[in-house]
Amino acid sequence: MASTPLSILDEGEGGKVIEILAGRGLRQRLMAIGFGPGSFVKVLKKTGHGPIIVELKGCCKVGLGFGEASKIMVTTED
Amino acid sequence: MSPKKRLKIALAGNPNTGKSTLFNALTGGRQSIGNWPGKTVEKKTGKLKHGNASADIIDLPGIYSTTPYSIEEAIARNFIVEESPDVVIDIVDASNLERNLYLAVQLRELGANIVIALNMMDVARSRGFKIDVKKLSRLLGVPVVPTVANKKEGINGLVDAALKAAESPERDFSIDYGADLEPKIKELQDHICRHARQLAGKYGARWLAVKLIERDPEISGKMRSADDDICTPELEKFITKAGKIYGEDADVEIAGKRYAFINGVVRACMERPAIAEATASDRIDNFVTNKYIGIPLFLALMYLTYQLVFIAGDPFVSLIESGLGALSSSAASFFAASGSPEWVFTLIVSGILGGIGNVLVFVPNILLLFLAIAILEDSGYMARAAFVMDRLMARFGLHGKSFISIIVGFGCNVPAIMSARTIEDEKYRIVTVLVNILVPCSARMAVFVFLASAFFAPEVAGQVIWSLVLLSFVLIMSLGYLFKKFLLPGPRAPFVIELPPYRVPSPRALVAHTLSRTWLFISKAGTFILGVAILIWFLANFPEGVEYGSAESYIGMLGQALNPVLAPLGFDWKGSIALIFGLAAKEVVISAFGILYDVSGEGTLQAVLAREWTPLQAYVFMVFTLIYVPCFATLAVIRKETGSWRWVAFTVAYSIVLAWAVSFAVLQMGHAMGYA
Repeated sequence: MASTPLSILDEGEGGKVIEILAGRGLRQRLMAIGFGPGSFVKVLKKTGHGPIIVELKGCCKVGLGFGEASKIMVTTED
Repeated sequence: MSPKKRLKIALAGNPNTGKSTLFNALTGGRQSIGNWPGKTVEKKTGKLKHGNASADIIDLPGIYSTTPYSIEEAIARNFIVEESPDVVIDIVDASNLERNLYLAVQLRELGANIVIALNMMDVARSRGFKIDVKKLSRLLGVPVVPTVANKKEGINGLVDAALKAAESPERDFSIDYGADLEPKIKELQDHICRHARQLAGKYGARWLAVKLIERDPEISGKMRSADDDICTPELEKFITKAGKIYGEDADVEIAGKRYAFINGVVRACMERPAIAEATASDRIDNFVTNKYIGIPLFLALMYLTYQLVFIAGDPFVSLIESGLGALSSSAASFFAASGSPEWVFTLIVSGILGGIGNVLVFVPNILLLFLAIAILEDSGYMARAAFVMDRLMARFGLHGKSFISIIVGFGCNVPAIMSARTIEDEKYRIVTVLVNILVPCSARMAVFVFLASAFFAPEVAGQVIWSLVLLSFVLIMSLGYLFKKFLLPGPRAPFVIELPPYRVPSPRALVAHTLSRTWLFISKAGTFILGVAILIWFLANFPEGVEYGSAESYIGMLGQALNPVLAPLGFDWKGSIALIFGLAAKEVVISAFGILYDVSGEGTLQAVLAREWTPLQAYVFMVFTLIYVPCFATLAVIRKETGSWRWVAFTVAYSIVLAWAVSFAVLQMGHAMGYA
């Protein structure tokens, strides 16, 4: 499965979380806040290389730094 | 009749699930929702009364998981393990089921006897979610009670379910971690049972095994320092063997299995519309977090807040002022007529009425400020402010979430410093704590308002105060940058923040928040500041026979001893004294003026001061007050949050040096510009 960093998706695009390329602490934090393996995320808002807003599974919104979003690998395939 | 056993019920749940509201509903609403504007970071307790059962309700901090990634998570987890509450009510947001159940599953794994309050059912329904509650309860193996906490729906059912659960606890639960991991977990479990019996008894061997595979730092540490002769290399070998199947990422596999279990449960008992339409929340966010509009909008909101606080508060301030004035002059004439000794007169009029009255005058402003902060928090805007400011903050060694602590600091630095706990990176957290003392809290604001209105025309007074707020921002940014760069260098901290849906804050919650915090301010005036006021009076009135507050009194001697240090800044000895007492609490600075400049029969205190000082001296005094050592309460909380006196000493030292240097510079600039 081809995966891309969440940060390069455009507004309105979404994908399934495949892996999180971060240290254990941040990874576990992200998984607990809803970025579980296989969960669906959609990019709602981007601010250049600033923080982005994503929507998780159509129910909650999370603000992420650009760096953090770059560590979340997603696949846009079904 | 033997006394009934007192039940212990803990409340757990994700942030923004209505936990504080539920806590209030359970405890009868008369308990305060957290002492401080920093929200539920401290343990709060209340009492439940229901039929003839009574229970202690303990509100745990809002958390996302039981991995001690943040201080809050560690607090909650340790409470559940150490105090083993009879029941843990887990508040679950029905409109956000998957993520919320992630915590529920972990609480069950921890062996907590949980009852789920399926909260915000109205929101879920309005979005077209259909939840089969009975099925959910069956699949999770715990009672599930639908509630709408802010309308007090379902509370009785929840209490009944919790009391029933206390009688027949259900603590067994495990997730199947799959054919690869399970054998490793079993092996590790056996090892733990053999070598760390005590820990196994307390936490459960399986839970410890899973946590070790997740490489939970706290549990690993506990295992290593267990009294039982645990063989460290052997243990390490086991964990590595278990983790090896997935390389470094056994924790991802474990989280994945938990989510897989949850997804199965949710699929089985919830129906939701295929396409969620853009909500009002989305539309507001589009505007509020816009790259160009975000920051100006935020500044405009802050400006409006301040205008509201001072303009709307003013009539009430004047009302209290004239009331106190009348009280003090009638007291004065009463004592003059009754012929009581001079010291009784000075104690009552100058000491107590002067000391406390001048502080109580600011209650309307403080109340409005707390109300404004509560609205920003409860509406969901605060998280957006952090989001909008993150990039700018990062440039100055701070974090988006530092910004929340700065805003809260305008109310009081104590909760502000506590709210820095949500910053996971320790270095960023400490920098945030260190610079927070430069945020002018409401007590310092009271001093500014007092002096600005004494020395400057009303049109200018507002700008004078605004200039101090700007100065504090400049100092926060510069010192944040320096501290982060030289004192606590490290990589940029991750920024992850949940943006809860916007809500119209419930008036009941706003009133509760605002009143409990304002009451704290008032009770401080009634106890602590009263004590300091009497102390100042005593020092000003003795040794016997000296003129009140004169250079020969104890206080005069103290002030003169300090004068060499503070004289270059243009303060007289009375000003120096006021600053010393300001260490107790900044409002005391005003009280001290009230006592030191005896004003009986000479017009207002402000008029007396305006004759003795020049506007420039007053301004420099305000600058010094803004920066120098925060009050004792703030120092105590810095000790608590940083865990070391070293940072307290550093804060005291840097703030004194900085206060002196900046004040001196401002004075010289003022002289250069031709002011006296």
